[in-house]
Amino acid sequence: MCPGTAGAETRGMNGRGPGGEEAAVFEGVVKRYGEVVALDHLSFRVERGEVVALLGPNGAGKSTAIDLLLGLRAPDAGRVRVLGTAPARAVAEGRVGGMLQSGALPAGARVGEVLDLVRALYPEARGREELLELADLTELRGRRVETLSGGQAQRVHFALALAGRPRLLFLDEPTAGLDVESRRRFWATVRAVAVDGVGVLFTTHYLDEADANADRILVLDRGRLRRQGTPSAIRAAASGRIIRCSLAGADPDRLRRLPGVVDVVVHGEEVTMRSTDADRTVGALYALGGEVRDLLVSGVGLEDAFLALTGDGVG
Amino acid sequence: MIEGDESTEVTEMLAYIRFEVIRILRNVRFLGFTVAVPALLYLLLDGIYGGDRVGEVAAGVYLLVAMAAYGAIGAALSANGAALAAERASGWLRQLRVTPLSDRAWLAARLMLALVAVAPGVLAVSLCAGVVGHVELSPARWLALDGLLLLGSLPFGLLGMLVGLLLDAQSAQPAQVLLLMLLSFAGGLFFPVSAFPSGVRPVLESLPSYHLLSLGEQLAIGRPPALDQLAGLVGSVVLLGALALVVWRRSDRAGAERLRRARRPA
Repeated sequence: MCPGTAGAETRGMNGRGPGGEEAAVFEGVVKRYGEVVALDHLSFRVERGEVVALLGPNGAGKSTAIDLLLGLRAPDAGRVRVLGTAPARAVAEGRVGGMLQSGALPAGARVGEVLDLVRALYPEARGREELLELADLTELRGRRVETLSGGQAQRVHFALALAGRPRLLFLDEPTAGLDVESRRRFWATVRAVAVDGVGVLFTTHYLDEADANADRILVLDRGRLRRQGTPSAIRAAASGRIIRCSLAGADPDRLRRLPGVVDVVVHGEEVTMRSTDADRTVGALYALGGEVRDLLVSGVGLEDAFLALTGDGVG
Repeated sequence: MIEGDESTEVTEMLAYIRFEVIRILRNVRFLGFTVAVPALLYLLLDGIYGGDRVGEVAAGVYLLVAMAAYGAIGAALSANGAALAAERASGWLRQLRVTPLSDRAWLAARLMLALVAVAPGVLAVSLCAGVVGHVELSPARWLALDGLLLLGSLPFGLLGMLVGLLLDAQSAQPAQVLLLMLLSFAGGLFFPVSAFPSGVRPVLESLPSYHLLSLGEQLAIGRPPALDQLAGLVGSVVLLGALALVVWRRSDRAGAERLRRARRPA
C-alpha cells in the first residue's frame, strides 16, 4: 500500500480505467496457501452501478477473494484490477469502501468519533450529517460503541464503508443481526448508492437476500466459479423440481433409484428429492408401497439450486 | 498528487492519534495503572525513604526517575500490547486497512501514540516529586528529564507492539504485565541494581529499563548522559523496531490456517 508508486497505467481519480466502467475484475486468479489452492483460475467482473452477490459454502475461497479485492493479499497468478488499477492503489486512493465481517468497533469511542476518524482518512469524504442520515445513525451519534446492539453496530460499519464516497463498495455479510425493517432500509440505501454508479459486491448467508437484491449472482465453490448469472438464471440452472413428502422407513438408496431423481435428503420420515421428471418420480414413489403423506412438488428455490450447484445437498 | 501524499499522511496520522488518545483518556483502568499507581507509589516510598541516598543521588530523585519510568514503561507497553491484540482479533484493524491509511502511517501513528500515552504518568510523578517530594530541579533539567522519559519509552512502545502483533487477546494482557514487572524489577526501578548480586548485574545493566533509569538520574543531577547507555537505548529501538517490522510483514500468514479449518470436514 504505497501511494507514492505511480504506475504507467491510468491514474485518474474518478476510476475510469481503460476498461470503461469496470468496478472490479478478476482474470485467471490463482491463490495458494502452501498446498491448498484457495482460488483456482477465478475470473469475473463487477461493473459500476451493478449489485453482485458472491455466494459459496465455507472454504469456497470467498474470504481469499475478498482479501485480494481489498489489496490485503496478492495473487500467485492472474490479475486483480479494481477501478482500473491495482487493488491496494485503489484502496490507498480512497476509492474503495469495505464493510467487513465481525468487526468489533473500538471500545471507548463514540459513534460520531469513529465516523469522524474514518472520514478524515478519505480525500473525498461524505459530510458528517449526510453519513449519519444515510446509515440511519443520527440519533446514535453520541453513543459509546460498546453500548450498541449488534444491528446498530452493523449500521456503523455500513457508515464506515460509505464514508469515503467509494466507487466500489464491498459488503461482507452486511445484514447479519439486522431486523427486518433495518434490512429493508439497508438495501434501499445500497440501491440508491449503486444508481450513482457504484459497483457493489456483497456476500450473504441469506439466499433470499441475494435473490431479491442482486443483479447478478456469482457461485463460488472450492476456489472456482461454478456459475454466474441473474438470480432466476441460477435457479433455472439447477433444473427440475423439488419433491417433499413424509414416508415411514424411507430408504435413501431405494429413493435414489427412482426415475428422474438426482438428489435425496432424508431426515427421519421427512424426504426431500430433486427430480428432473417429477411426474414419473411421484408415480414410482407411490408404487413403492409405503404410506406417502404430505406430498408437495415445487419449483427449485434459490437455496435448493445453490446446494445442488455446490454439491452440499446430496444426502 | 505525489507531493500531496506526505501532508495527507500526516493529517491522517494526526486524526488517528487524536482518536486513540481520546479512547485512552477515557480508559479508567489504563489511567489507574499508569498514572495513579506510580504517583501513589512515589508518595509512599518518598515518605519512607525520602531523606536517604541511593548511590550518588538523593532517594527523592531516584524515586522520581524510577517511578516515572515505571509508569512510562507500563503506558508504552499497554498502548500497543493487549489493546492492539484485541483490535487485531476484533477485525477493527482489518477495517482500518481498507481505508486509505497506509501501513507506514499506521505504524508510525501507533508508536507516537505510545509516546503520548506515556505523558500523563510522567507528568503526574514529576508533579508529585516537585510539589510534595521537594525535588528541586531547574526548568531545563525538568524538561530534559521528562523529555528523556518520553522518548526513552520508544523501545517499550515497540515491545508492546510486538506483544500485540504476536499474541492473541487473552495472552497479551498477562504477557504485558509480566514484561512490565520483569523490566521494572530487573532494571532497578524498585531496588537499585546495586542491591542485586554482582554476578547478574551486567545482565541487568544491559536492559533498556536500566538505561532509562540511569540516564534519567544523570540528567536530573546535571551530568552529561553516559554514551554507552544512550547507545544501548538506541540499539534496543533499532533491534525491536526491526523485529516489529518483520512480524508485521509476516502477519499475512493467517489466511492459510483459516482456509484449512473451513475445508476440513470435506
